[in-house]
Amino acid sequence: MNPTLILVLSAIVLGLPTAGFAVSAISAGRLPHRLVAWTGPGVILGAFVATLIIFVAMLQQPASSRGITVVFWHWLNTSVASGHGVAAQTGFNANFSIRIDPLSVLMMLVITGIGGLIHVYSVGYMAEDPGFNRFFAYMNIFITSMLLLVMSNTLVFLVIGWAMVAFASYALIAFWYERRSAVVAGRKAFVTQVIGDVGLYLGAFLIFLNLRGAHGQLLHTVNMQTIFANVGPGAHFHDGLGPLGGGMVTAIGILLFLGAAAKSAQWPLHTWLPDAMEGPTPVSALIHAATMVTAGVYLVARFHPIYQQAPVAAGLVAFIGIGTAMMAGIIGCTQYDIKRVIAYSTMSQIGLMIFAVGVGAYSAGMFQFFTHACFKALLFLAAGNVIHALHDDQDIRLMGGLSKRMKATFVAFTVGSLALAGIPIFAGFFSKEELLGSGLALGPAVPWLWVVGVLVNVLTSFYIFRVVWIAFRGEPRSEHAEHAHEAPLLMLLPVLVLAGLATVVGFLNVDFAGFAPITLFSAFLKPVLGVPAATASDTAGALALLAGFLLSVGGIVLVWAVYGRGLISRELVPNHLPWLYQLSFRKFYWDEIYDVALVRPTVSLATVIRRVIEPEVMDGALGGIRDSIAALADDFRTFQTGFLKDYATWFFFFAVVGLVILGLRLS
Amino acid sequence: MTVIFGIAAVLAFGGALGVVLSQRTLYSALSLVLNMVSLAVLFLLLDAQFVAAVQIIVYAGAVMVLFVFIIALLSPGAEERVRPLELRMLFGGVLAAVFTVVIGRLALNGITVTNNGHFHGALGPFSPSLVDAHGQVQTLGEQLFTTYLLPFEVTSLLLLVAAVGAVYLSKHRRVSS
Amino acid sequence: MTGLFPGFLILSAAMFSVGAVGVLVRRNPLVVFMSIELMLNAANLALITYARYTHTMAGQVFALIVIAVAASEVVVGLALITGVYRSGHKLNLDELSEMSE
Repeated sequence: MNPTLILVLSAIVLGLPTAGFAVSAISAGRLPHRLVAWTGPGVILGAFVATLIIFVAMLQQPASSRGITVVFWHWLNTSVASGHGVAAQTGFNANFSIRIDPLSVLMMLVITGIGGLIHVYSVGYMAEDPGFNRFFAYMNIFITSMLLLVMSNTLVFLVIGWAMVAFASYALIAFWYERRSAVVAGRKAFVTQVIGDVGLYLGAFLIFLNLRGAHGQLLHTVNMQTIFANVGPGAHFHDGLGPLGGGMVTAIGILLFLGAAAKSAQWPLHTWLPDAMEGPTPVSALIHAATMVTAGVYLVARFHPIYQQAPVAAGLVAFIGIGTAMMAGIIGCTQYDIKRVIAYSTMSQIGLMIFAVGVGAYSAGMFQFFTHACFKALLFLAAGNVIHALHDDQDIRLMGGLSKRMKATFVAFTVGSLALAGIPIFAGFFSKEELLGSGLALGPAVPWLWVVGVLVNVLTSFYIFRVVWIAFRGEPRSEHAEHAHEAPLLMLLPVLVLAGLATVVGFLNVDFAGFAPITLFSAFLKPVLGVPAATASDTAGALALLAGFLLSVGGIVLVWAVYGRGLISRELVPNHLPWLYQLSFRKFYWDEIYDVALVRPTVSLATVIRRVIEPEVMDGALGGIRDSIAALADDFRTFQTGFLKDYATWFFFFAVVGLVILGLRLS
Repeated sequence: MTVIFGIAAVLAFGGALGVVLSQRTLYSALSLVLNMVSLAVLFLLLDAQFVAAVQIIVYAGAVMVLFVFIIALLSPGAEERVRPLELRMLFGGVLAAVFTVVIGRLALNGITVTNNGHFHGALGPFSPSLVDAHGQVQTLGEQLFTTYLLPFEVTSLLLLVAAVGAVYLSKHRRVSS
Repeated sequence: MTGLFPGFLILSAAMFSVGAVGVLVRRNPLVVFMSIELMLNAANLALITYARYTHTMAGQVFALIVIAVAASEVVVGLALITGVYRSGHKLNLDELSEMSE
């Protein structure tokens, strides 16, 4: 690939959303919405076009030469060139450099492509909102940050993108700042993100401090390509590598995953995601379904050379992923807020991706990310149409009968649900079966984790079709639901495009027993992510396929039996297993646990400090300092005569005093 | 060379004293001209021909013309002397003497120069003979536009600001009065 | 080798302190300005002396820059003095003390 072309194109990809942010931010409150309605989505679509050109240029190249690093500018370079009798030294160098390779291009395509569709949708969704320009400013800066995160080639700029993403997410969740619940949700998300950030920073610092090169010398580098090149087998951290990986590389893996867990809403840092549904629905689609929450998956996939050296850390990742997938699936079955159900489904699906990258099926995890971005954005946007039509009612108990009034949205939502549940020909089927097949072949504690993953299927199809049934079928149960009408074309069009994508993208990677393999997707990512260490045998693969499919269908049949025909009482679980129902309905009590374990002690401590330490100790000490400074100032005030000559005299006097002291010291 | 230095030094110092001691502002200005021309001679002695020329053109030319013009415009009267001798004058005189003595001592006692007459540390590459061979103005110009480009550009910005400031100040006053 | 080096330096110091005394004792702002010019010129002399005797160019370059700075300072300063004079004040630093407010 031509480096200059790539440099210019990546500058456009990063620069357009930034420019859009500037335009929206400057015009907020000054200019009418019409300008931003064009620039807001326009810059993202422009960035998408530039990304497509990069993608096409990349496909022209043989697979081995599809990675390229371009340097925007040299920043903070302490290297010393040889000359003046000094030998050249390699110093610390944090370039602003961009890595273009199949993995980052895939992320860029999803971010700008799906993001662009969501921007178009937002023009319709937010049309009446007085904060229209502000909304697009936040959305554009979010896209910039996310692109910086996935394109950066240095840890420094990765961390900057990582933190900017957290800020943009905070601003968008708390977008309707008149609502107290929105502000609280934004704060919760931000605080959780910062906990994860600390993990990422510490992990990055440990890599920086401890990574050794081929000759055992400390590298002290933040260049990610150099890091990956040196993390291979062999003692490149100072404590060596045992069969379970050294302590250092395991610690790095766990710390990096702490950052990934906060971004991807994995246990124990998952509680912010359902609350984040307080933000506008396009935000949920963009940030909390398609892009930001998958940053954790990207991080683990990008740092897979480290996880390959740290089986303990990778196993932990897989366990947490599958555990979160199960837990979120159970919670999703009892929620009534349409967006929260989808949020828990996101958490569950990302749990599966995290499981995949944890067991080493990186390409399968990224494929699930890709299809998930399509159908989850679709579900959120379709839900947004419903919410819009019902004047901001989000409770599915207040809906019903919408399939007659909103036909296109109903079809789109059903397509998304089929894809999510993993029904053949829809995207989710292919990605999920590949993912679970890899889990069967690679997973730790085979096949138990994989079985759990298959069980998640039944939960998935149950909770999503429960929403379809309650919200769209039956009779309207509220005033608003009776008068609901289809969304305007501007909001319908992106939904239909996504519905088309959710139907077809699965065929990019048909790779399991008994089918002619079409592995365009994994072949594309192979230069970066390699191939999995093992693949399932045909028989086992076919069994996995069948089991997964049957359980998905079983979930739908269950919904039909409970909500459609009434063959099984809805009160069965609440009556006979009340603890399970409560556990699910109360979201496993994590919010309460954190409240008791973390929030209340902190608040009590703060109260003690406020009541005792602040007035007595701090005010006392500061008051004393203040009084003595005031007394000193009174002494000095006589110098302030206002006459130039007096100032000049003192100035000259002390200059001479300084000179005399200097002279005495030198002689 | 020593003779020329002696004459020029005496004239320069005399000019300096004249600036401070003259009662009439115009005499101060004329003494300053004398001081600056003598300084230009000293610069020539120091192989800094270009700076000497600039000194004459900018200082003795432009700046002093401006001074004289303003003096003529405002025509400030003679300052009345303060008698008895002001305390500040005594204080300033003492400070000035101490300052000169300390500098002179530092210059002579081997701090910047060793006792056998050589400078501490290595000499730079611009020996007078080399500079003459290459051309004084060429060398200075090269330095100014390569090594010292940033200070040079900043100075140009400063000049612009000064011009804008002067225009603003004079215009502003006229409006308010 | 050093020759007249101390002579130049002492002359520079003497001119500088004469200028400083001028700033301290004179009441006419125009003369104060000229004294400041004197001090700047003394600094220039020191810069060029060092440039000559250490065989470097930095001193001359900076002398040029100092001349430019002095010129801009004079322009702004004289504009200020004219303004003060026009607004009805006498040109006497002992009566201008509004900075203390």
